[in-house]
Amino acid sequence: MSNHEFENYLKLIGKLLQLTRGQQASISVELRDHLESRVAELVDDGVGQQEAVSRAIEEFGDAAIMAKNFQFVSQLKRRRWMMRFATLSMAGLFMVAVLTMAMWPTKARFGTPDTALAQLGVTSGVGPQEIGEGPSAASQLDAQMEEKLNRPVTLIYEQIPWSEIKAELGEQFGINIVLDQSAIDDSLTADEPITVNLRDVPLEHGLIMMLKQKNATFIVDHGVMVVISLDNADDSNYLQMKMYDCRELLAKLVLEQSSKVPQRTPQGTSPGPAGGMFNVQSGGTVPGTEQGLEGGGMDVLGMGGVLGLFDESAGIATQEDLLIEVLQSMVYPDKWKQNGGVADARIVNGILIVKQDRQGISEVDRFLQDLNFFVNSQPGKAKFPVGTDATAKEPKPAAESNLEARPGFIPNTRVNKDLFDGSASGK
Amino acid sequence: MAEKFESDLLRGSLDLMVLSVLASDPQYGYSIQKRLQEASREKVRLPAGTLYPLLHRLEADLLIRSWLDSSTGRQRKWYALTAKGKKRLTAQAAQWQQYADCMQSLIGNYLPAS
Repeated sequence: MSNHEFENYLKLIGKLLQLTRGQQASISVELRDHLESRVAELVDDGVGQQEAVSRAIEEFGDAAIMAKNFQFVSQLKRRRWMMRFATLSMAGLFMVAVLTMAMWPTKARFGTPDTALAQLGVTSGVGPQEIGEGPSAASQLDAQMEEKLNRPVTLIYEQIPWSEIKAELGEQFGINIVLDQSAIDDSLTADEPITVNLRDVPLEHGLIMMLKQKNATFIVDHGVMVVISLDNADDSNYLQMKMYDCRELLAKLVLEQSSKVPQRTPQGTSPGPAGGMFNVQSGGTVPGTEQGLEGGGMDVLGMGGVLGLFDESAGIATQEDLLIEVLQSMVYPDKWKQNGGVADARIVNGILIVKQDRQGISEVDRFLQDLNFFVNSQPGKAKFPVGTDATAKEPKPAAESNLEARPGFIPNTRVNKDLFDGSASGK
Repeated sequence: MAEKFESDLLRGSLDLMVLSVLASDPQYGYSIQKRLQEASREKVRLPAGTLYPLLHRLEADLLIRSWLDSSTGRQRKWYALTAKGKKRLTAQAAQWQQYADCMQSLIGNYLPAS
């Protein structure tokens, strides 16, 4: 049987279809079968062999049309395959997302304390870096902002509208600055002219001083700088939370007889004679403190210590109590809950959690860093920083820092200075 | 030979025709073409250029399946209906019945008296 013509026909279709050899062979099988069946039938009907082949091929129709029809089918198959692939990919991605959510560290999941606190209006600060799971996303954003706030800046403006300054700083430091309604109410409007002349100050202090003229300040929330009214700075909604890893510091604090709680003065400070590590008070022990100790009523987390601090019968039973007591006596005493303020400090598993306004947090940073420096500066002890945030710098004795130059500096911090001076000279 | 159906008329029903031919037993391309021709009294003559791409499409849609067989001495590709194909055939047949009834009532008055 002369199939030469038909072989050419099949080859032509293969070429037109741009099929692989395998695909071509597969299609050829059935086309050849069809042709041979038709030829056999025609021959049976009495048609000559050559004539039968010609007619059979003729009936097949134009090779180009058949190729086009096949092509349409293969395109359809490809589209279906892609659709299936896309659907599977989406399903796969969804599964990965679900698994990631399920396996994500509980700290970062929805509905965790971090979120719960955020819902209560508490913005979170920098997480303790020693914890393996890493800080929350919001805290990481905040940490980036804190790093930027530490950069030096020169702010020289003469009657420049606030909106322009905002845009310039935003661009220069890559930060988002938004105005809280309270600040706008305080007339810090877009065209409010601002005059300031500050050279080489950390951005944070430059901004605080600049905004202070307009009775405003700022907080950092999810890495965004929110400008608020100064009147609202100590509103519980604008408090910032920060955690400090104090485990090593706490282990080094020594509970001495002399460390027991002194009677609080209205200012909450008790300037004492300098010298000696951690002799934070000179007023002698409070009557009844001994009872508190004997009673053993303090819980190890220091909660009881905080709550009981101003109870005259309360004492300092643990290092946690001691750190909280000293912190609250030394840093803005009036801002703490115990003195009618809103700020709070607790110690959980050696992690000090502080909820303070921004200024308060800044002072707590400094207090802890310097305290840690002195605690560790005893002979034979290695140095290490306390602050777990990116802003922690090499500790320097307070005597070298210009205390009075700091915004919001209040006189009672002087006690710190005395302590440091005494320690530095005494040891 | 009877007058063929217009291709426009056939377009929407070719799938159903092929599925119905395959409903009773497996067939190969040439036999499908023959059956359609016989069933339609020569009115439907599906050219190979249309038939084979159509079979491949139905197979891609999983309405039919195929296998190669060479027991007759000649390599031949057989096609049979899948379960999905059977379902599709039943559903489409019902739809076509309704369609035919609808057409009948619409055009009944204009049919030449036989």
